[in-house]
Amino acid sequence: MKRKSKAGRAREPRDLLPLTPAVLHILLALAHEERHGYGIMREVEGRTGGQTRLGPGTLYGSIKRMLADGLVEESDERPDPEMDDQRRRYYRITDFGRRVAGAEAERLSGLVETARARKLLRSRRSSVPEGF
Amino acid sequence: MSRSERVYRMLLLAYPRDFRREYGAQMEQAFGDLYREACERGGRSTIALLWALTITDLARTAVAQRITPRADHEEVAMYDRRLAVVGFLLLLAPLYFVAASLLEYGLGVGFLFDPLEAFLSVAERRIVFNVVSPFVFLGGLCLALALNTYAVARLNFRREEETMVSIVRLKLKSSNIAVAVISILLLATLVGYVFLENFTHR
Repeated sequence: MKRKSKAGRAREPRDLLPLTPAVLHILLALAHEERHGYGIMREVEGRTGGQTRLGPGTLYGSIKRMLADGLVEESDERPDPEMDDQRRRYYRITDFGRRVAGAEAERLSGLVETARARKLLRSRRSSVPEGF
Repeated sequence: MSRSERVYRMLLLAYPRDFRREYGAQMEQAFGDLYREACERGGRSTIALLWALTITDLARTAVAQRITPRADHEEVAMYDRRLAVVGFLLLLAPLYFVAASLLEYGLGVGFLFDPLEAFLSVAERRIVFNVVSPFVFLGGLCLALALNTYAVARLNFRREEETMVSIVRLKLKSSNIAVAVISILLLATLVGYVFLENFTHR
């Protein structure tokens, strides 16, 4: 399904590439389940081993743009209403968002392959330094 | 609510109002969660690190949000209409003065000029008028012109190899263009009038 822009033109996932690192991290965080803002921050920090931390400004600035682009949407459902603050807003990835994330992953994968072919990147097998 | 959370709530004023209205409460809540986590994890050093990251994030993203609110088409249209209305209000006083003067001295029609002359018949009022009117008329016209030129025109510079390229983008917003053109005409009339009154030999 093609998504239409505000001007009415059908958009392709590649129209939004390349994604900013924050947008890609948010899409990855939402790929498997709906999360609220703090949940997204925790997931990104945990998955990257603390190397990437999204501040509230970066997170919600990106979410604002992603909602406008149709990459994510707000969810009315609460995973566990009893345990959760009702004021929290949950976000989930859309089908279009999933396709955009896939297209970006393909693009990055192509770059990695090029880097590997030009000997800029060690293959996975030889990633352990010699002597270990 | 902790002092840090109160400070963060105040710092959110750096973001545009629309952004705060939409995301301010969520950002406060997210910061509160981060803050409580930092307190549990490691005390002062972790809180200091959280603040350093937060301030950096806030400075960068608040500027970005203030620079790019024009991305939303409806928001831009509303903003441009507001500028046209403000510009039109700023035009009213000089427009009245110029129209009244031209009708009186050009065509001998005094229905606009007579109330002004009656108002200025008191000496004190005339002094105040002579002092204030240049600022109100010229200042108002310049402001109306600047605001509505901003609404319709964008000048971008880009470096291409050894050359600086400038690009002028014009939006065909009739109300903003009308206010800008009327401002220019009134400015030309007023400046011409001042020049003729003060710098020509009689």
